[in-house]
Amino acid sequence: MSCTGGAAIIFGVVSVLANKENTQEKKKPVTVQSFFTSVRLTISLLILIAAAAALGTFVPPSVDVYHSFWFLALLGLLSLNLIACSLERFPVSWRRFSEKTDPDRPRSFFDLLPADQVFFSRDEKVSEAAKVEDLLRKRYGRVQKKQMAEVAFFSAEKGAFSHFGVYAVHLGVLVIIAGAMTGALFGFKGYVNIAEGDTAGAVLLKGEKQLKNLDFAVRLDRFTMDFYENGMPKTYRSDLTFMKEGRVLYQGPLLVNHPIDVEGIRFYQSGYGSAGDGEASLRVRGGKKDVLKKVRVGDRFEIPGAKADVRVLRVEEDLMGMGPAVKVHVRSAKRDVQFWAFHNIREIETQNPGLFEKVPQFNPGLFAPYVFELQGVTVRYYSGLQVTRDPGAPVVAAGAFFMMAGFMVVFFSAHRRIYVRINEAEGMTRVAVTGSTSGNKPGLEREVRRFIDECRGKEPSGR
Amino acid sequence: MTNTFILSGVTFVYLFATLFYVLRMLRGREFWGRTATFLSLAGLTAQTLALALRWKESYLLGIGHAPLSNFYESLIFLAWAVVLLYLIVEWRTRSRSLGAFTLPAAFIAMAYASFSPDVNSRIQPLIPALQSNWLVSHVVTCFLGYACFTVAFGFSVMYLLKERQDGQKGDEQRQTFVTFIPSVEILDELIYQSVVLGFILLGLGIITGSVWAHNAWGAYWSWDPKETWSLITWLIYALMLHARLVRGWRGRRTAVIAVIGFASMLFTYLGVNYLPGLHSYLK
Repeated sequence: MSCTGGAAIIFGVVSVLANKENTQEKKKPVTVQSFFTSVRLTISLLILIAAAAALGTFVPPSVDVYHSFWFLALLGLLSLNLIACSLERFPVSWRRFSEKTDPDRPRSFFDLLPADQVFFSRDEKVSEAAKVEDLLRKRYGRVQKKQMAEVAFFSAEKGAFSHFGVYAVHLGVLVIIAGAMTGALFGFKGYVNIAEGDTAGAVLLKGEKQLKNLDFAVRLDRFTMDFYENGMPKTYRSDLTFMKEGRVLYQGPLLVNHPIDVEGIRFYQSGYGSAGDGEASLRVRGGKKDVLKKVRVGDRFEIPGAKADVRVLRVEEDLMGMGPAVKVHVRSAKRDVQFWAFHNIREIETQNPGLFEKVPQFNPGLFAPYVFELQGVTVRYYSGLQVTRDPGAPVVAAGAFFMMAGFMVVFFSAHRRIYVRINEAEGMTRVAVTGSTSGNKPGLEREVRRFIDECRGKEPSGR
Repeated sequence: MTNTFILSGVTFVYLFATLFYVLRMLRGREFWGRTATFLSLAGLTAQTLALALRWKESYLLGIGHAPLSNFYESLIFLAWAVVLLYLIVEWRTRSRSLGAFTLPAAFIAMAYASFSPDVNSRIQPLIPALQSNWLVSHVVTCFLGYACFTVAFGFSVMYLLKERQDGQKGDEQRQTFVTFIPSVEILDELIYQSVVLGFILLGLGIITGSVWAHNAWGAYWSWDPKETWSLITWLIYALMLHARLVRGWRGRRTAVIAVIGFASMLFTYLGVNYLPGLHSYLK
């Protein structure tokens, strides 16, 4: 899908959906503001982002949906939508948060209560009122009251801050997006392979073909691997030395899950391999005297007495699972042959009878009467280091924290108000308790019941 | 490997619990319900012991780690969490009908873990990438979240069945069965509560995962298929909660989204393993 095509489709879908909302409710024209503050836009964007993210997992990675213009445009729209909705609704929430509860409620507010929200006490009105006020204060802090000759009203509230939970969530999402952008703009992600003993001062940037110079140098002193008894890898470890202007900044082991931070740049153990310049110990038998050589790829030597020239074509520490092997090219005036010398040639031959007839170039004695014996290959490893700097990471972490804290407030708190009216009726003191909530009703009912139980000096009942 | 032996036994305990929960709804005799609750509790206890034993066995092998490190262990933990969550809901709502729709999930997870030839039940040592303190918190939060969504899925199926019957008259047999399903209002509330819990837990799972990735892979987010699909699942539930809180969506619509969310969760858990990515060691 081309960038512009994708973007056009998204804008089309979004505007159709946003329009639909308006036609459904009121015949208002779509203004820029109504477009960005519509809930249907939020819902459409969440669906489109989820769908685009899903698409990205099925297309080949080279398409890279997640950094395409239209995916970023969706995130941009979501940000605008969040900002617009928050700005539009914040004043309402602020009013709900700050408005004083008026304890003096109309008669109907208390007269229509179910029987279990009203109780009678033999205590006098004044002492009952004092008790209720005391309990309310203990439970909710501040108490609003209005006391008159024949009736007393009390109100108290808790969880007024719950109106702000949603803004913490929105802010969190915006901060996460800002942090991701910070990382993309001011950070980098690179990779470097360093062979044992070598030093690197630059890394290859991911997705680009350019090098980034570091202000310091990294030397790989040693790469080691460790395995469990069943052959599964246990440890990959690079011993690194970081140097700047001739002095050592830091020296220590780098392990998977234990990155090293140097001057704001993080180093991760992320790969390894053979440096490809392994040293082979070769013994050539068959002459008057055995020839013993330590060779690398490209090395040449002569077999004295045979007037033959040997060139090392390849040195492998493990060729096709058959162990160390070396490929040589032997030339004399009469002959010109290429063949492999395996370290484990005896076992390979036992397992594959007739091997030399089938695959003559696996015969280490192809240049008769000489036989090439590979005594071993010493491997030099390289370690693959991921090198990154991401100044956005702490920002993203802060955003995630806001978001989760906001969700806790949104889902697990509510602005609850409790209203109490105390008056005299039928020669007793009548106490009516009710409340209101921004959250769920059952929670409020439980709270009212618990308060009534407490007023009546009962153990709080029920679940 | 005593633990795997106990765990394959627990599979059958959950099978019988499922059957008895269903039998109770068909026959209307509470005896079957009580037996099913007893079996679920017994199964959960045995499973908890087996998990503790497996943990101990890993230490005896010299590769000690919490039993949360491979596919087998994740299935077992998921089943454990589903049963635990269900029993809490049964105790809180005093309704055994929910068991007929949640225990089957636990049975299927246990049966897949214990009897599928593709699932290796051996205790394996931790490869370098998994040797992190974040392993336990990441896996626990994610799979508790998955368990919540699984339970919410069971409730949603019940909701859709109940709603269908409320609208039309079916044959006698099905009716007895469906009358045992709690009212749509209760189911709606249960779906909401379990989705909220799952949403928070999966959110924490994604966050602990990114912190871990930040320490292990060099990036807190890499758009690896597992990461991406967990985000998609999370977005689906975010959409449901948002529509519910802001637009007042209730009932059928939220039940349908909970079913879609569960499908996405299954793909996150199982389907993604067939796509190439960083989480491939879970295979």
